[in-house]
Amino acid sequence: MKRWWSLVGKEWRGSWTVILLALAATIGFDTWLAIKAPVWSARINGGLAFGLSFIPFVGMGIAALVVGYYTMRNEWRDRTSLQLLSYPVSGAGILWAKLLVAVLGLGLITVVATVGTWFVTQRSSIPYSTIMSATEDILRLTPWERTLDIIWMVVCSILGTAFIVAVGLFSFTIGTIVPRISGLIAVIVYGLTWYLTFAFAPHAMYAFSFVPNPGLIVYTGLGPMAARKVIPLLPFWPTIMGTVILILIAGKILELEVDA
Amino acid sequence: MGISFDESVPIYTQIMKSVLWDVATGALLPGDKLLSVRDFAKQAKTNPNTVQRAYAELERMGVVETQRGQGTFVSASPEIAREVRSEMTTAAVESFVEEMRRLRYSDSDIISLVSQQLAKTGTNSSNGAAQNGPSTTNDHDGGVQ
Amino acid sequence: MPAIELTDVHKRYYRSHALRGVNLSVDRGKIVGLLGPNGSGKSTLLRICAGLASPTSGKVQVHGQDISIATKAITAYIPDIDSFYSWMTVRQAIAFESSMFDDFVLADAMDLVRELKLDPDNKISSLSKGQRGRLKLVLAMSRRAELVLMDEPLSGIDPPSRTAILETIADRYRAGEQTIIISTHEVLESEKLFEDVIFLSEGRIVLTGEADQLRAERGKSLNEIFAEVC
Repeated sequence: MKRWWSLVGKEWRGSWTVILLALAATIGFDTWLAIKAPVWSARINGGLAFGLSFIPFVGMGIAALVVGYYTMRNEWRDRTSLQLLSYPVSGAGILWAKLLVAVLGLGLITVVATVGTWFVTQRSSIPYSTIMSATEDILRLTPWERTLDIIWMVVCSILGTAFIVAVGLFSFTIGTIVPRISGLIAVIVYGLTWYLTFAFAPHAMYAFSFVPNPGLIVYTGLGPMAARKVIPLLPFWPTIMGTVILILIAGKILELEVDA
Repeated sequence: MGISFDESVPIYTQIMKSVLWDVATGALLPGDKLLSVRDFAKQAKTNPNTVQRAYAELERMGVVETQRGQGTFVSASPEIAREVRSEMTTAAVESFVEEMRRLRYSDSDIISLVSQQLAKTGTNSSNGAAQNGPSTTNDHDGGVQ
Repeated sequence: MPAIELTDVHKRYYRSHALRGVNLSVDRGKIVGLLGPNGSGKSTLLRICAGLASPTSGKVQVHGQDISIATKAITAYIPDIDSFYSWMTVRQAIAFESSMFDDFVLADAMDLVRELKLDPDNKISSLSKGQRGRLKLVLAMSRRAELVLMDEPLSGIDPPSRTAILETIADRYRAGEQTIIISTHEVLESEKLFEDVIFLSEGRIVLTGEADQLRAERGKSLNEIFAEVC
């Protein structure tokens, strides 16, 4: 375990310049928006700054899609893959370490971006209290239901990010099987994996509907006859299983053969 | 220790020869400590096992003795040193004579060649300083007891 | 129990047959030279023993076990190419290596760093090729690894560094406890280090034996024998 944490430390040390850059960009952007927000609220639209403050989140989404691939590719580009796999660690262990650091890094930037958005909202003409009461009026959530929903959304983003990163890690690793066209194979596998994910997500959700699943609590309308539903943002168990399976398979492939 | 190895000849025999030569010339006196296996290997950039083998052979011959934890020492007995010197001498003389005979010199020619060379290079001193004519005060036992 | 045992090992890549039926048993506790020209399969053989590649067919065992995390823990592998994290400093590289292996001795590492004239706070990206070669050696020889695999440790290295590397190997090698396999095609300088030698050509072993015995039998240096058989 100590070795694994050392791997995590190495991943973190190798990534923190990129993370710092992204943090700086996010803080800079949100600060600029916060400065402009009152002006825009008065002249153009109250919701403009608020809307634009979601750009960092889009950036995070794109980053999540590619970080898995790139963190592996860097090992191959720098030939450090040889050193890494000569260590007494499992292939899966190496991938879990990369996954953890990627999720933590993205999570950190997301938190900062969220704070930034909140800040921007404060300075726009859409008061925070309006949004919050809207959830009560429109969604008719009690405070504890709202809290649960927020927790569930956070869990979903973490799980979802982990799965997205895992797909990237998996695709690159499969690509290494045929070194000459590794990039091509990686892209094909990447596309295929996502296709299969969406194709079989409903089946997976059905299969796991027989076990307890967390979900988002919503009310389907206003009035006393509104139904209370719990909808999953993400299929909880399938996502976890999918992530684990992708990492385990990729790990085994790393242990079999490493090129540089 | 400036051995230069001939890589076409077994290394361990060359190591042995180098030690024997040092004993014969008095560079290593009875009781002197040999370089440790590791130091020797490091200086010569050679395999410590090979050095160990050479030392073991020398110990089998009685030329050196290993004292546990202390190192390898030249045998304290002066007879051993004399024996080594005499064996090296015999080997050197035999090899020289054979070579001269292969060059087809007669015995008397060989002797005069030797005398001439001795005269040219002066007394039997280790730094081979040139002197005027042959010296008559040679102590042929040199520095070896 | 041999240090390494290969039984009828074949390794095929898409266009090449790198190892063709290699049968090999390397005794423990010796420095062994793996000699062969470029492309003879030396690197492939070492990578398989280090667990970085799997044979297409045949069996490989280290200390009587199949290659696994356990065998990697007792193996020190120096690849022929540079595989450092260039953002690390020398000190960080040592610390990282130390965290990966239980048999790493930090004191030895700092000793060697001083002996081999490396600056601990230099970034690896700023090191010369010779310095990187020396650092590779520090990482491998600071361990009590039972098996050390060196792939072309002298290749492309400046002469003073080569001398330093050879001296360090001779000095730090723990005779009888460690098995060191050094692959090279530059036989001249390193041949005095080898107790046993294996000559590899085009993926096949063409000759093995004890170095001094081969010298006695053939009256030639290993370099000359190398030129003959490979």
